[in-house]
Amino acid sequence: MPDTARETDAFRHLQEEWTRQILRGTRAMELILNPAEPKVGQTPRVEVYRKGKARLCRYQSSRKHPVPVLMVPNLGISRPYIFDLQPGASFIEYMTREGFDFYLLDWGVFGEEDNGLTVDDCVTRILPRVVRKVLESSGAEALSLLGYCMGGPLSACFVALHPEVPVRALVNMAGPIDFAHAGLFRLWLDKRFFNVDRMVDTLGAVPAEMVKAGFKLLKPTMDVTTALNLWWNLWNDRYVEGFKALNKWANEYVPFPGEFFRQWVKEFYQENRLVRKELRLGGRLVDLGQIRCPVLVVGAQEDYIAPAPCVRAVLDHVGSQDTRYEELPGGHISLIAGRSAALHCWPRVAGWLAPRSG
Amino acid sequence: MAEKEPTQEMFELWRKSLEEGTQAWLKTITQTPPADVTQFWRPILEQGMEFWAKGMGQVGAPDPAQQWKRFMDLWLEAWSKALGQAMATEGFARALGRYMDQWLTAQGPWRKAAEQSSEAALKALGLPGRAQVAAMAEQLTALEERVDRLDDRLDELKQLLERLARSPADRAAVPRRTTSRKRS
Repeated sequence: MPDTARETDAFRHLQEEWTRQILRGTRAMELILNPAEPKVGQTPRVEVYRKGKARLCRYQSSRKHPVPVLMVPNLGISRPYIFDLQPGASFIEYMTREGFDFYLLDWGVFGEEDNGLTVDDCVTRILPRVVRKVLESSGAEALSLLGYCMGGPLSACFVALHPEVPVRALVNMAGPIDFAHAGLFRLWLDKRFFNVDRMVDTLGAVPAEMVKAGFKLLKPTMDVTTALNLWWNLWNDRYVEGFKALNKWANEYVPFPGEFFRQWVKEFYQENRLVRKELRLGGRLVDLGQIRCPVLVVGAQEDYIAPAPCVRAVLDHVGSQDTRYEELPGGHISLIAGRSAALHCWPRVAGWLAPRSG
Repeated sequence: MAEKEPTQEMFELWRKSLEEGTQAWLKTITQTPPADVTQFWRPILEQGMEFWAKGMGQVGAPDPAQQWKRFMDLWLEAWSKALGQAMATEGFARALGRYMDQWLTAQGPWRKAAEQSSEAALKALGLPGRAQVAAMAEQLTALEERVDRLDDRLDELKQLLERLARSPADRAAVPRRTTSRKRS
């Protein structure tokens, strides 16, 4: 490149950067002076059932597909509005636009009175009723289950224990199944180093602050990276809007019920009972081989909460003939929310479910 | 290539000073067993720096802001990788577990005392304590569960009645106990 052209190019970059710096400063002042809460979860919904803290919400669609979809997210940790973050950036909005009658189970924010809730209760007491309410409310003869994160193994256990329930298809999105591959959490929660009984007996529940600390520790540089990226993109209004919504969610942790945490850590993380066929829920043995409906598994390449091999493992144990595995770019959250999710994950899930929802 | 040299030179200088600093630091802590530090951090830092050096060598954009952002991204990525490797060791897991144990040991009596004093204060004011509110909420949950069970039973009965009304063949399938009870 000739020297003059290089200088002109450098000057143009400098000019652009200067304009952006001014915009960054303005937006930063706006953010500080007007820290308005972003609006989240705006897709119209109706509450169809409530049990304890759990709420079942229906998001109606044109019902192009007669089989409704029930989404079972993680329990505790975070709020489920990540699936309906903002108009144009919402998995639920996308699915309803695609013609799926969508139901979301919100496990709620737990208090001291819920400390006795267990994995057993969720799989054998709450989920069966929720599924029945979905069928009643939609008038459909069958439904599809979509488990995300911890909702993945919960849904899988439910389907395995209830072969009589008309489940048309099961989707496991970033749901850990084989805990031998569960990454850093598997190591940190190992019974040689972590005494879950002591924690639950002392605290009763796992406080939200502790849940937050645990997740932040997984990626200690995350907050600095987020702040740096915010500063870099502060001139971009769309980025800032999306950031505000995502940041609200990312900092809103909820506590874990004590007994649920005890059972989850012991039987899933420490003893890996689900894949060893040693897990008993409601007095019955959970055999993933009883799952005979079509199964789609979606793992994320950079998921450090539920690494892809840990998620994919469900396919080695189910009795289904129609199975599919998708490993998509991104992490545990960007698999389901954000631009990458809209590009990679949502169309694949909807595309796979559509022919199985007639 | 000539315009990359000052950056490369600066990076080399920084690496040298960091290495010397680490060496000096290690010397000062040789009194206490430095096994963990040398075992975990030394190879990690070197790996991080190599990665960084590679990235710096690739910087070719004339935009200084872009260069700075890229530099920061690489720096954070290197640290993230280094920390990730350190945290994936049994040593770290053991230390974390030990820290948790100590924290819980400290928390236990403190929480108990705080709970007792707040319960006493609320009682003095004639207000229900946390334990009482939680117990009441638990009772409500139990009641809700019983209502749900009744609801389930009613649903079962409703379905049975519907089946009976629909087909006489189903009537035969009704357990005899139900009909004999009606008669008595």
